[in-house]
Amino acid sequence: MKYVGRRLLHSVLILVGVSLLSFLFADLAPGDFYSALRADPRMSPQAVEAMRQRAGANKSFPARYGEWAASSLHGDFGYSLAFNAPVGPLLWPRLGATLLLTSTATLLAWLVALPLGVWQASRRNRWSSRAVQLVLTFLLAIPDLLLALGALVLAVESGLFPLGGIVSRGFSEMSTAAQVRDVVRHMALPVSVLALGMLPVLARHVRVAMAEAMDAPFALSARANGIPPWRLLLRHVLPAAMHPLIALFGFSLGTLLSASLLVEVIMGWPGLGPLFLEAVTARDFGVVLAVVMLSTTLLVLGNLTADLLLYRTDPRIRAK
Amino acid sequence: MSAEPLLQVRGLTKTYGIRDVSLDVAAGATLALIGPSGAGKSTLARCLAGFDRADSGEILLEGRTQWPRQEVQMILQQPAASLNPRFTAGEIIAEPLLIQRQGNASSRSARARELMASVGLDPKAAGAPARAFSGGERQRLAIARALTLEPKLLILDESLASLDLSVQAQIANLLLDLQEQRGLTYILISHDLSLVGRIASEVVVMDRGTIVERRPA
Amino acid sequence: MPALLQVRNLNVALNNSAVLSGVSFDLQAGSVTGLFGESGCGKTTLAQALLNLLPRPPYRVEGTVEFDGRNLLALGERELQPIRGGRISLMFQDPLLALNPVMRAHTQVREVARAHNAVEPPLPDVRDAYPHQLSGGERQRVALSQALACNPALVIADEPFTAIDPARAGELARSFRERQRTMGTAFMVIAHDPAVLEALAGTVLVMYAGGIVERGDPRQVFRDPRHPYTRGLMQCLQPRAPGGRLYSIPGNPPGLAARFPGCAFEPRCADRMDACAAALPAEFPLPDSRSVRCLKYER
Repeated sequence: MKYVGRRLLHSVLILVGVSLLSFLFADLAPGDFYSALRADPRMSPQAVEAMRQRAGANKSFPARYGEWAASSLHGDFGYSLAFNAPVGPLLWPRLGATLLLTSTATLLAWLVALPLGVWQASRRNRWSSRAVQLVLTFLLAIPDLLLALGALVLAVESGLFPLGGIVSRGFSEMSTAAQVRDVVRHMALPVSVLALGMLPVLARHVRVAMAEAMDAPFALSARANGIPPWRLLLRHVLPAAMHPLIALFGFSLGTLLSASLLVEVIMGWPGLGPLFLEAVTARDFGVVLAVVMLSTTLLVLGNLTADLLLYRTDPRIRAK
Repeated sequence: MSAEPLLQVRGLTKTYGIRDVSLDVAAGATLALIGPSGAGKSTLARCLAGFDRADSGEILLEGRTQWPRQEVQMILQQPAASLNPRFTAGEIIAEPLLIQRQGNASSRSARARELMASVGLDPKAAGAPARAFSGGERQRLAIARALTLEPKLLILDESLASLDLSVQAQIANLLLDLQEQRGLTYILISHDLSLVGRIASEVVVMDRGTIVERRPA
Repeated sequence: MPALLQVRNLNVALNNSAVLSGVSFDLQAGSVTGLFGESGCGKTTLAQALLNLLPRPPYRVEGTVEFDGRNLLALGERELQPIRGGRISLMFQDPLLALNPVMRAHTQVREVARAHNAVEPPLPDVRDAYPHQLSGGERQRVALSQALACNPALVIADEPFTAIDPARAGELARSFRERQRTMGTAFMVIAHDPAVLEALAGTVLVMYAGGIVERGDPRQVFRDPRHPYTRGLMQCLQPRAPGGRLYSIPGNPPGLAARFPGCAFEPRCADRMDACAAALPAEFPLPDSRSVRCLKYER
């Protein structure tokens, strides 16, 4: 329990630290939301200044930080100058869409990588696993951008998949079953692209972790005791190989928000990605900071989950 | 040999380790410490080597209650445990000199080669990484390193245990030679009664934290 | 009565270096055979070769290991699986390494039984904890329970007494003898302590540089050694004159790469003759079922 408590405290401190630093960097960055307006000849400098004043941009750093922190804890995350509304309500639907996309993709990638890596480790040096390795390396080399564009081309040519969006028109009138089918059709390509992007690295980690465990003396000892090969692999070797994989799993949870930016923007998925991009271009720091904080929170949660899982599953850590 | 014992231990006690241990060790002796697991041999050794502090009692080395750390060195059973396999033999042996900031790079490597020769290793191999040496050779390296700062007392904690018979004899002979040449005193912890019989000058038997018997070997 | 295990002309090579040469011996049911040798002589390789555990691409294995009327070296993994742990068990040298770090002790013993459809095996007298939570002696007991879980006909124990202190070693030796007496289990014990083998084994095989150089009853082999190597080793164990030194065999055992035709011990042998380096001597028989691979004993 002490371990959990310490890790939680650690995580909270990280979050606070990141929020401070992000706020600071946003402040230090030249220009702000109103810089674009100032360039507009129709607006007088005084008017712009007055707008800034009203938005509270000239208050002291601690005051502004304090206001923002308080607002964030309420769920509002400050105020979006571009949308003229509290940031919070803008985020939630987008957050939902992103999480739906990335969690499905991550789950899919792991569900494929795990058996694939285990199978590869059991068939080392045979041409079949080498062939698969080649395909995975090729996949790793292809930039996500290309995969995404390729998926779009597929969508256009085949007409089977919608181009962008999460739901079709008339969604609210559909039956529940039809609604589910609709979302799935919209998700299919973006999820595939994301999952294919994650797959090679995950499969390689699984393969390496399994290979290391298979070379360990205890695996030879189990074989010498007549443990049949599949049981040896799954019940003896895999649990011992899980250690680095659990850490990896936690990390992949942590990247749930950041991984999909590119794919969302290119494939028109209405997640946090496009919102973030717009906000950065418009210098709408309210939104930018909020997305950064959300991302960090998820990263920290992912690491925390990984640590806790490791603690539970590896008896050697508990000994400390 | 001087009449004054090199080492005097008085009423040394450490919870969960040793209880009221008193002992004199003459200079130049090879004292074997034997007994079952948990008898307190390693605890005593660690206190003598300065790795642990006893709860009460005192230790006197040549009559002093405080002495420079390097005058007592310890060599462990598994050389692999105490030698970084990636460092070269020369680096490992010269390390204590480096830590004590003695000499410069060239004097240190000269000394390392000298010590290698004195333990029966080819000084030309000073540049080889530790993992290139066999078990017996690594134990020689450990001994060379222990000798770098010219100790007075060497504690050998099962140092010969994992060696083959013929290698064990070679290393034992090396230790005996070094003892004669440098006036070293040894405390040997061992489970191997035959080995103890062959190289020790006296035997101290411990059980459950205290000394139960002392006799010449 | 045919031997339980018959090894004939076992040759094992690794990357063109001979690790085992011409190893032949019989193990009788219910007997204890000792394998005595120093590091690098090939004892562990031999133990693993008997169960056909050596990976074949780097290793080349020739010869036969006859058990239950079949050559184990010719069988595939599927056919070997019921034998390994079921009829012949191998206890590895370091129990800490040989046990699965994330599996509890009792589970590990049950797994062996389960692999051979055996009933609930006798569990070791230790807590059902993870290996790193147990002491060295406790881990040894778990390893022994695994080896005995399916009541094998033969247990091969690779240096079981090395990693533990004499009290535990004595206990372990007694367990072996007890087992031999009550269940007729045969043992092959690899050790480098002659005293232990004298107490336990009926026959001892002395190995040097991949071959057997002498064999016989340990009480005779160790007290009246015939092969110059065995003689040299036993002399190391002699007490020294006060102020003197221990006997040690000059030189070092040959590394893997440096093995030539002829007797492997020849470079270090005080009794060497020119013929010794030319070809490997045959094993010459001696009285009392002993034999020596040394030209000095040629008739």
